[in-house]
Amino acid sequence: MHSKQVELCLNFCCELGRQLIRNGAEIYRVEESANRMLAAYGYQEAEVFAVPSCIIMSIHYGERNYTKSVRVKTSANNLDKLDRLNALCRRVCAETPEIGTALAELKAIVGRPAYPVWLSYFGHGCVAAFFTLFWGGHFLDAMIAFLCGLIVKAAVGYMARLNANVFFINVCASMLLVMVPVALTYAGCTAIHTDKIIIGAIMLLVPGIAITNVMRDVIIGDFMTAISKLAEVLIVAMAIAVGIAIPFGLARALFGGI
Amino acid sequence: MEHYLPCLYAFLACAGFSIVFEIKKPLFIFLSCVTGAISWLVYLLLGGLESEVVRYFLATIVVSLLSELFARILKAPATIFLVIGIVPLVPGGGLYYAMDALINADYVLFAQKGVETAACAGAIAAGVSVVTSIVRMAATKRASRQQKP
Repeated sequence: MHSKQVELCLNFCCELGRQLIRNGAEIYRVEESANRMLAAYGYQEAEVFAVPSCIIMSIHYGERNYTKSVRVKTSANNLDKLDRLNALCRRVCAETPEIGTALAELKAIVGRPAYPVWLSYFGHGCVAAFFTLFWGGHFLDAMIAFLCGLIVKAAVGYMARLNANVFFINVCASMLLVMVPVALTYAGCTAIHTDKIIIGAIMLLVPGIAITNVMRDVIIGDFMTAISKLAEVLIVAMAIAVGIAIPFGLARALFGGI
Repeated sequence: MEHYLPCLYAFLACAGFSIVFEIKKPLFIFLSCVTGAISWLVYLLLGGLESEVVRYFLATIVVSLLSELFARILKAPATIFLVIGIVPLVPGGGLYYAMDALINADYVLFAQKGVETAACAGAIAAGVSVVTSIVRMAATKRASRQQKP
């Protein structure tokens, strides 16, 4: 009977850890949370190892060793879920509810609906528009940037559904968003500030959560995680740079510079 | 007053980011937007300083401290406020102008802008690191004190 309890607890902790990583938690937070929860349930001899793509947990209990590993493949970057998962973890540590109850709560959090699609599009547009104003663009620039924001959201969403890789998604998204102001400029609309529009809209592609977490994981001393996250950040930055360069280069080759 | 208008834009852009990153609680959205606006306000107020890097560093320290403060009070991960609040400081302009110089084969300008951008990014990283380290140390000290008696 006991062994069943251990396995249930292991399953719960692994799933919670996976959801934490998916929704943008630092890796040290995942390891600490899992360790605390296992300790709260009375498994003092437990080891947790996590990297951004995998979690391994082992418990030594009674005569036996129990191990489970889960792979983390997709990311959702949902900070609301991150907050709720963190709160659930605190509650589990403080009250140690039945595993079944805790698992039900976890499922409820994971199943929480995201913002409606139109609002998400609107949010993307606003980020691009206001950052364009922030960097010194005019009202017209902001309107065009809003459109670029919508394009980014559509492109990233569509390609992510098709399981495209991070590099290609960012190349295509930044290429598409750069095309809009470049095309307008070549069409004779010279009143717009191409640079301000692009800088504003590119903010959407900057991997903010990864960058912030890299720094925090380095501090904790988790260099393996930091290196793999840093690789992601650099690849995305490179992809954005390539995506910006392609439309400019093409336009210059085809129509000459303006 | 117009000098400080970007702070308002930063606030609104951060509101957009709160939706992009799916923050739901109104208080959290408000606080992360405030963090974002303050980050740029601090940067502007330090305009008297010669060095861009120092301005970015100090602004990041203020943002990180605020995020940690909100996190402690609201018992939420500091990441939520930090991720949003730090976005206005991201040197997107430098990155773009460096790329632009590269496309135009102006390698001197590319090197200059590139190094500038890297230095600002480094300053931001250093700012976050300093605050996080100090907060961790304080937390460890408090925990060890609570265990003793």
